[in-house]
Order: sequence, then structure tokens, then C-alpha cells
Amino acid sequence: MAMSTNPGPDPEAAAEGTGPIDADEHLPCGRTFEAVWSARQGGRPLDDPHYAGCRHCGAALEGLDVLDGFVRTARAEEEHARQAGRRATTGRAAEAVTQRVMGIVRRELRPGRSLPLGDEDEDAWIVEAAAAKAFRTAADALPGVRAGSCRISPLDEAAARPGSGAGAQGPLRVRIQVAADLSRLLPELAEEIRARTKAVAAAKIGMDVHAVDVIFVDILHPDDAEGTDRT
Amino acid sequence: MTTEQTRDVAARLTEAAAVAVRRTPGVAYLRPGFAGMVRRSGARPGGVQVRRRPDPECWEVELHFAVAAGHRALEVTRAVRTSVTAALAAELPAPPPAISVTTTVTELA
Repeated sequence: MAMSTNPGPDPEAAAEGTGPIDADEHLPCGRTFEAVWSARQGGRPLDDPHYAGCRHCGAALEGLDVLDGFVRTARAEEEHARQAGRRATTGRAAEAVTQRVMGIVRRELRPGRSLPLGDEDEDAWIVEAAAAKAFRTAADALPGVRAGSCRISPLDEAAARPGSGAGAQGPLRVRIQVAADLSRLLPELAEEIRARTKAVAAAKIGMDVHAVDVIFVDILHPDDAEGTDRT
Repeated sequence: MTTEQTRDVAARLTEAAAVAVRRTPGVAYLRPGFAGMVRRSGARPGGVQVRRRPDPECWEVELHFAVAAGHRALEVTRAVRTSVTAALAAELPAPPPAISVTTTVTELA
């Protein structure tokens, strides 16, 4: 039984991307945010043929356009307020919007891993966070169990066959961390969680899960297990 | 096709695809784009991206949407692929060029 206190990065938290963007951050195509945004500045047309076809750069540019629009509006309102002699609070509002749009841009551009659905040539996918949530919900439904981090990856990372673009094809492994009370033997509980996970994968999603690793990270005491808020 | 013509066709196809996805049983909603999330009006539909490859001519469609409760995700992606392919073929001259559809489920409602 593993007793890890560091569950590893949570796909939902990683995708949340709050906080200022580091301009050196790379988009999935290899370009940096800064390179893309500099190319847009001054309204110059984008000569580099990469931009026409790249959805990652396209998304970054769209985010910048939205941001531009808001900054313009906020500046205009601020100027108007100043001329009318009112104290300008819109500067702070514009900054809040900026942060929010930056957060959205990051989340859009790093949605996390996509996992294959159905057959290898189907080109149908589900984002890891959506599937992970379904598996965690299934484990949570068991009495005395609280699900933690859940990650999904190709069964054999080394042998993973490259897919059309969204991610790798092939069978998958689910790794789920749980806290549990001692009302049941842990190996039996692990087996039940495993069975429920595979059932959800098949019935609700259509995802080919070959292995489920259940990792017990904490023991729940009777007082812990009753309807407390989950962080 | 000129760049302008491509842009016009792409805009029509994007709209047609968005309508087809929303109408497909089991789709909860298209994933909103940036503009949708910050509530600007007149925004392009989010969750739909259409791109034309010139040689051989092929239209690539990328869709991001949430699946409604009580529907199996895989089945919904298949239904979406069928309805979007048909909707795009209806907008293009016969015989229609190759249409490639990639579906990604962003949420299970």
C-alpha cells in the first residue's frame, strides 16, 4: 500500500492555469506565446505560413484579439470617466478582465491530454479531465471511499502508437488515488474500484481501459468519511 | 480557390457544423470559445474549427463539445460525425471533397 503525500499534478488544476502567463511558455506546436503575439502587434499581416494552419497559434491570437477589445473598451471608459470628473475605477476592472482572459487563454491552449474513444481509426477523443471525473465519481459512490487524483495514460507509454494528432491510440491505464476507511479489506475494495472503473469506461464512455491501478493514499476515520467538503 | 472564397466557405461550413452538432441527440453543448466565455456578442461559434487543405482538397473539422447525461460518449461522437459530415456535404458542390471530422468530448454532463 503506497502512502504518498504527493499525488502528482492534477489535470484539472494544471489546465486551470491561473496567474500571469510566462511569455516563454511554448504552445504545443513549439512556438512561444511571445513570438505569436509579437507577430500580431501593429496589425501586420502574418506572413509565416505556419500560422494559417496552426490551431494552437490561432487560438492564442484569438485570445489576444479578445483581450485587445476589452483593453480598448476599458481605456475608453476610463477616459470618459476622467473627462466627466469621476474617479476612474475601470483601470482595476480592466486588469481583472485581463487576468481572467489570460487564464482562459491558458486553459484553452493547454486543455490537457486527449484519450482515444472507440476504434483506432475513429478520430474520436475525450479530454482526460472529463474521463477522470467520471471515474472519481464512481469511486466516491462507494461507502467509506474518497477519491483523489485520477490520471489516464496509454497502457504502455513506450509502445504507444502515435495517433492522428490529438494523442496516442491504444489501450489505456487508469491510475486512481483514494482514501478509504477500514470497513473493508483494502485488496477487496481495490478490486471493486477496479471493476467500477472498467464498467464506467465501457458503459458510459466507450474507452478501452485495460488496467486500473488503485493507490490508497490515506486512511479515513469514521468522522472523516461523513459528508465533509471536498477540497 | 481564392483566400477570400476559402474564408467565406469556411464561415458557412463552421455555421453548418455548429448547427449540426447542437442538433445531434446526446450533445449537451458546444464548448464555448474565448468570446463566448467573456460574453461578447457576434462571436463565432466556439467548439468548431474548420480548415481547408488544398492538395488534394480536404476540409478538416475539429469539434469540441460536452456529452449530455445518460448518453454514451462514443455513440454521441459517432452521431456527431455522421450529422456534421452530411451537413458539410450539403454545403459543398457535388461530388463533395474529402471531409475529415475530429471529435473531442470536453465534458460528461
